Amino acid sequence: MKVGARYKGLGSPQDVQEALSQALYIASEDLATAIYLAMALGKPLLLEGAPGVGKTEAAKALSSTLSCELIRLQCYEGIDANTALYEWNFPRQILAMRQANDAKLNIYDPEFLIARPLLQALHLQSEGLLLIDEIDRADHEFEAFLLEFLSDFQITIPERGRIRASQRPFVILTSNRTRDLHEALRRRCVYHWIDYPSPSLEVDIVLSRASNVARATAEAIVAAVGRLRAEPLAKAPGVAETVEWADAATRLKDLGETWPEAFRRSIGVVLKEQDDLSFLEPRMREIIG
Amino acid sequence: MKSDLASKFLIGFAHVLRQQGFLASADQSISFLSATQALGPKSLADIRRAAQAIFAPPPEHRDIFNELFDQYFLGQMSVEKVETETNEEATTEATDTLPGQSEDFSDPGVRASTDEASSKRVFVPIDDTAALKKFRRLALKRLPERLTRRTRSSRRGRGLDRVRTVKAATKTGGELLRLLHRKRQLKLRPILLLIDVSGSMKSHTEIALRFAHVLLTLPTRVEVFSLGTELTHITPALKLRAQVQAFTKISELVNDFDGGTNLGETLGTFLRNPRYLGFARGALIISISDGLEVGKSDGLWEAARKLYSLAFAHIWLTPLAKTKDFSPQTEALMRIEPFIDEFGSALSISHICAHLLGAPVPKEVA
Repeated sequence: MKVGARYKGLGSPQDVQEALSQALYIASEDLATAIYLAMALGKPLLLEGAPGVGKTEAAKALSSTLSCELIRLQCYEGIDANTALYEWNFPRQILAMRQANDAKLNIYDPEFLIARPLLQALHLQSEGLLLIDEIDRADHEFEAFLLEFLSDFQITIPERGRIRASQRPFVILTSNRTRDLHEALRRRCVYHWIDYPSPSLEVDIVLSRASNVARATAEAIVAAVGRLRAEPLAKAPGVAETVEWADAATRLKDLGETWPEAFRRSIGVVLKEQDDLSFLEPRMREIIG
Repeated sequence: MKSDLASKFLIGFAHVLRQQGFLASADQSISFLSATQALGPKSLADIRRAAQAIFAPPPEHRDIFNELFDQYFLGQMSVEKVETETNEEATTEATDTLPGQSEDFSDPGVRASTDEASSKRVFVPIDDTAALKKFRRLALKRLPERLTRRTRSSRRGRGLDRVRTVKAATKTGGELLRLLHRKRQLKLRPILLLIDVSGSMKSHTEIALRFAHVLLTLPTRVEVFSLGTELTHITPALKLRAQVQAFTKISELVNDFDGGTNLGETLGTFLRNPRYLGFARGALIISISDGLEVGKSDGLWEAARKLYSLAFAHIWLTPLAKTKDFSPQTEALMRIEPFIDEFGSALSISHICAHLLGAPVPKEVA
């Protein structure tokens, strides 16, 4: 089975890996394989991992690689159909009713409909990527609703009837795994757990993402972050924080700060819990190296 | 013919996974075949990647998953064996879960210490008592609630129900004569139940587990851990509706029944896991323990302080509370007293339920 005509030029996991690296996203072979399989099988891709390991970035890089529109739905507790699907434009409906007087008016005409991310994804006429971010923050009811949406790519608006996607978008769901997602959702997706990258891969990520960071600095930061991740912290630093720390320390160095001091003074970029800071304070010198 | 054999062999792996408690449905098996085909496959690594992408093993069990993969694909397990095992599995797989809940037993928690001797327990489940039935009935009204961000139609409320208001305005030519409202819904707070299964709690462990089994039926997030010398996440087992099955599963999962007590260390293990930490955030924490900590209580003090800062409230129920005006006497409980919102009795299920519902305490204690 080959990836359909929709994703030309991405005929293997290696192609996906190369394409992503052009979008400055350095993907592991496993992640590239998962993306390739999601495309080949026409299934949503579920990316799980600790905060800051690059789940959302993967979706952004992929949309840039595929040169398609990225539609993002940020989930939160209490998210409902109004926010995710559609909403009626009430002020316009009221004004139209007043202007119409006795004339016949359909207040449920599409001109009064405000499409939210999921409906926007259904309306796409060309390639599109739907990112459903942090699905674990949404409640179970929304997850169940999403299950239905993702299986048929159609919705029913009571006043207008059924709307079906003319072209199925590529869907990426991300989760920080603050709670377990329902099995029914997991088994419908191609799954990949994004772990912290290997030190050499993380150095490459820092060098490609941060500006003007020397390789030696990147290596020192990655080694220090590795030591931090081995500590029992409330919040272990993610890849995004590694990049920010390298960037911040380099900026301080440019202002004339000496090296270990530049790392130490910019530690707030990477450790954001007072408990973690006070716990590590006595051994900070040893950790920073 | 050759391809049929290969497909059969690949699908056999799904059977193996299912036997080991991993998620492996029929449509996943089919997707696994398609995924393997899509990748070539050029090597065993391709098949492994396809398996990981389709069967979605949780990260903490990826090692077990890979071990099973190696055992199966490197020739240590034959298709015939799998087929025989699958037939046996069909007769034993009659588990009864609550609708929409997980059957994942592959997350038994983290071992805090291996120093202490471990042991298993066999339970003889008893029918629900009247107290549990009453608890189930009243919990929705009496346990602490919080406002959710979901709203519902209401006569009064701060938000406007725009859909209904506009619908009403269609009858009055667009004039908004009647404003209809929505208000935020109330929901039970999440509950975290910590059960001490050490030797000193031997006669009360079953009571606590029976209570936990009922707690899991409440419409909120409930997470249950057993504490002794190890930390064990027993929520998936308790989700089995039949008490016999749930308790059998728990006796398989928990290795430290009736052992020593190392609450500080086990709670420390709990707090070091960011995922478990999330269970405590904003939750009602109920600890059922006598607090008879072995050695120094510094670890317990630190853990209680941290839980106090995270939780909505922390209630400590102990079988040592034999009077209504109980105040802690053990060194560990006295130290953590500032971080406990309420102490109560865990002498029996009636006592536990009565305390949580705020009902009058049963006569034998009052």
